[in-house]
Amino acid sequence: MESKNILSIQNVTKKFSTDQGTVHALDNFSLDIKEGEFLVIVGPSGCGKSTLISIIAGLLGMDEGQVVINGQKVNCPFTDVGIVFQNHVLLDWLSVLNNVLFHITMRRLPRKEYEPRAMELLKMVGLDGFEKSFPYELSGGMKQRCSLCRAILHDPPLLLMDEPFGSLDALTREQLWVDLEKIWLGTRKTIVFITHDVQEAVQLADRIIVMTPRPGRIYKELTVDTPRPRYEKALADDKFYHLVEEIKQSFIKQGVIKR
Amino acid sequence: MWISKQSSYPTWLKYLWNRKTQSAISFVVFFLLWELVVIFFDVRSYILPRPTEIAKAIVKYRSQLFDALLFTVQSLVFGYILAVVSGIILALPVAFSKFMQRTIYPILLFFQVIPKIALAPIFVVWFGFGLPPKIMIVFLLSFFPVLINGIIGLRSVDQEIINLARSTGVKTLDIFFKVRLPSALPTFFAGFKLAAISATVGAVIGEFIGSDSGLGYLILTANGDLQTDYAFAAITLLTVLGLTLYYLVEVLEKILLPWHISQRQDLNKES
Repeated sequence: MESKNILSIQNVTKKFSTDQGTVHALDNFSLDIKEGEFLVIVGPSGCGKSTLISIIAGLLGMDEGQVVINGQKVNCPFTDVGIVFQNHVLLDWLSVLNNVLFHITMRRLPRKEYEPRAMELLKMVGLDGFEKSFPYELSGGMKQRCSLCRAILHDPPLLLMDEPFGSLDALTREQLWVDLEKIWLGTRKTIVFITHDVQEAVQLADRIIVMTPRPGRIYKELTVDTPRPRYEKALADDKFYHLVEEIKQSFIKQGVIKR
Repeated sequence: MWISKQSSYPTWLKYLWNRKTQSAISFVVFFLLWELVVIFFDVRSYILPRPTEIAKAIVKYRSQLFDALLFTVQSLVFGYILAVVSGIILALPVAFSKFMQRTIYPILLFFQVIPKIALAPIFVVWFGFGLPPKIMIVFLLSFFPVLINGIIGLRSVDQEIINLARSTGVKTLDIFFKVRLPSALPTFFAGFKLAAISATVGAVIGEFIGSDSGLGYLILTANGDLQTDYAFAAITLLTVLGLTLYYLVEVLEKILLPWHISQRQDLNKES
């Protein structure tokens, strides 16, 4: 089945000028992502992964190149994507439900229409009964689940996830891998997922992009075809460990991990 | 086995001496010690009156004290409200405009460094002996904590939160009112509380410099007559006044920012 490209990143270059001089975050970066694909970009910190997410979402301008989502050129904050940030960034003064409805209330869309869907999503991630709670009453994993609901409530076709589970403890992270896969299988959204956790990349991705250190370029592309739902199958699969090894080897070759 | 040891306390003692009563009891003990020290060392009343004498003085001079209190409350409340309102209004442009940061902010910082108490006598020259110079001093002392905290609060909102808000595609003004301002409110309130304390100081100073009424004025005249118990009575009322203003702000904070208060209490519980 050949599906169309939902996201096309074309020759994107991004430089930052700092006190220490110009930093090349991304250099002539090109990538096409198919509809419904789960793409994971893995790379060392500072390789421009997060910059890439900001550029795709239209939160940050680029120096050269262009980003096209569903045939539309991105040149301002693009509302038809969902973003899950590194930190949960829930608003302390809003209840869980109101946090999930954040986009809706900000954009003054009819709240009543989205409320049932919000409750449904909360239930899907196991947060039913917490809709009236406030963020400070939730654990780290619950907060990140809540922000996942917020990102997909307005039903964007593209979900951008910027190291979303990086600050969680190891077991909670694995639980969220399972939960995220379940949501993904249920909604079939296109996901661009950024991480520096190799195991996470192999566990989640259809396709993995391994990045070079700054300036960020594509070092290697890998396909993961372990059938889904994957969590336990991946544990029993030799190929899973080979992939993890392959990616780690490529980091050693690039000098990211020094022996 | 510390549990069994604790439960061996008699019940009446536990009612009297528990986590809730401990701070109140420590106050009682403090005043009791004060009373005893004064009696034991036979300290003259004009040097240091006993707490009971101060209480008696409050009752005895209640009408004078009440009139003075009313006057002080006026300068305190007007000056404080003026400071809070203008502090907020000025914090907004300074927090957002780089131009204002370069032009207005240095001037404000310059004025903040001036020992404002030194201006008090000049205010008497400018505004006379009535309420206005006192209001001005209260204003001047409480304005900067509000302004500085407001600017810090508005500027230190997490960039990821701002990005989240921007990703909804709404206008900067919406982001300001729905995200930036609520995020900054806890810091604003920290400023309001600091300002409440400075405001009381300002009110007294204003009355010290040139006044014919108010609690500060009462302290000066009572001191001149060596009526130390009377002066202490006025000081007691001033303390209560300052505390009242402080707690009013705190109550308002509790009503407006329940989420913030609960977070803070969690921290307290852990410590």
